Amino acid sequence: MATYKLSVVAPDRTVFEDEVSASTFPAVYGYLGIWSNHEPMLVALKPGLITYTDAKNQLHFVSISGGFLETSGTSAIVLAQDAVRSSEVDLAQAEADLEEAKRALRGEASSMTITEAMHEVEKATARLQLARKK
Amino acid sequence: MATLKQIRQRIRAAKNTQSITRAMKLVAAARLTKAKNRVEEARPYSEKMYEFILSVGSAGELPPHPLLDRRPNVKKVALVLITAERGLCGSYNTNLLKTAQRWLDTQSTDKTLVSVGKKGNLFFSKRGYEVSHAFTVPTAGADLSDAVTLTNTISEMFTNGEVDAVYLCYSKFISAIRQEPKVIQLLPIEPPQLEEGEAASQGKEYAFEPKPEDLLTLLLPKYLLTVTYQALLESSASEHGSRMTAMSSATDNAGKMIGELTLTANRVRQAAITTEILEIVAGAEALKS
Repeated sequence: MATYKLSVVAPDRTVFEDEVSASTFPAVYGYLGIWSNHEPMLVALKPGLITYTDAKNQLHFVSISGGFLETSGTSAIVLAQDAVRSSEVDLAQAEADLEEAKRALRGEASSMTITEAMHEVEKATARLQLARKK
Repeated sequence: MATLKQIRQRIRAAKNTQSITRAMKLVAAARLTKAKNRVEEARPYSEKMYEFILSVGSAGELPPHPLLDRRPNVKKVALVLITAERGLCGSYNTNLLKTAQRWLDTQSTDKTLVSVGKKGNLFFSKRGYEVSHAFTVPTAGADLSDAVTLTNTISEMFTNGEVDAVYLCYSKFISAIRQEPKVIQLLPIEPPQLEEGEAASQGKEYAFEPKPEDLLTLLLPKYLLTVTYQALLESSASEHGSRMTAMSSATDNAGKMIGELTLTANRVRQAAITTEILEIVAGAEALKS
């Protein structure tokens, strides 16, 4: 199967680069699948899970906290605010963050604003989903 | 002339100083390597971000956005000044402070400072400038979260009308022995423009989702963050580079001083011995006759 290069970069590091045959991304209007030779696109992503199948037909997951995707047909690049691979996810931390955000949404004392808390809920949920996929 | 004891004391002092400067040089060298790596690692993201803005911008007129708002009447400007937390790094801080001072002098509007690093804050608050926010960064180098806090602060100052433009003074890292203090405009954002001929080489027709205007709204804050983060990283690399060079020459100087002092000490000792021998010989001669 034709493959293309997928790279995920965060502001402070390159999270990973791999040859993949297919991948799906959490775009703002719903999940978006990209095969090789896709039409060139610039897409905004929301917090969620990136799923990709590598050249050996293995399924992998990466959670991101929003970002942007550029694909040119032969390569795809994700600029993620923060990206976590399944080998790196910290379940306890994700649960704690979710709890904290929910407390803020209930109007209890917290350092977060409502918008921040809503974003945090999405981010933490994505990481929890990732942890469960392991 | 100093006595032998005094000279020996000075040699000891110089040796102690030398071992301190040598240790500081090694630490700075290690930190510089790390800081350089971080600049390298951050580069793919910022380059890609730049290309994104170019692609989106080439799709049509840029829609109005609070961060692009160019105000005709600039009443107050803010200068973000990145300096080190500590001294002993050669001319690094001085150069930055001088550049900032010169820039501030040319501004006829009201001005306020946002200082990152203790040295800038101390210098300008002592001289009666308004420092509206003062941040400190860990010595190990700025984190992404530091850049986020800084960016949020200045975007807020800009969007709520407290200031009409924001500039950034930082040190561009060229090499371990060369750093260049620079002042750049942060806000309103000057979107990168496609240069003539560049468009042809790109040659890709992108589909956008959501539409370019909305995409841009999402991209701009991230772009600002990237610029500040890059500046923080480069400054910290410059600081360590500058400190390494300064400490290296301090170590050399101490070595030279120890050499000279040892020479003097030997001469003084020799002179003392010679005098003693002369005295004994003279005494013996006197007894003989």
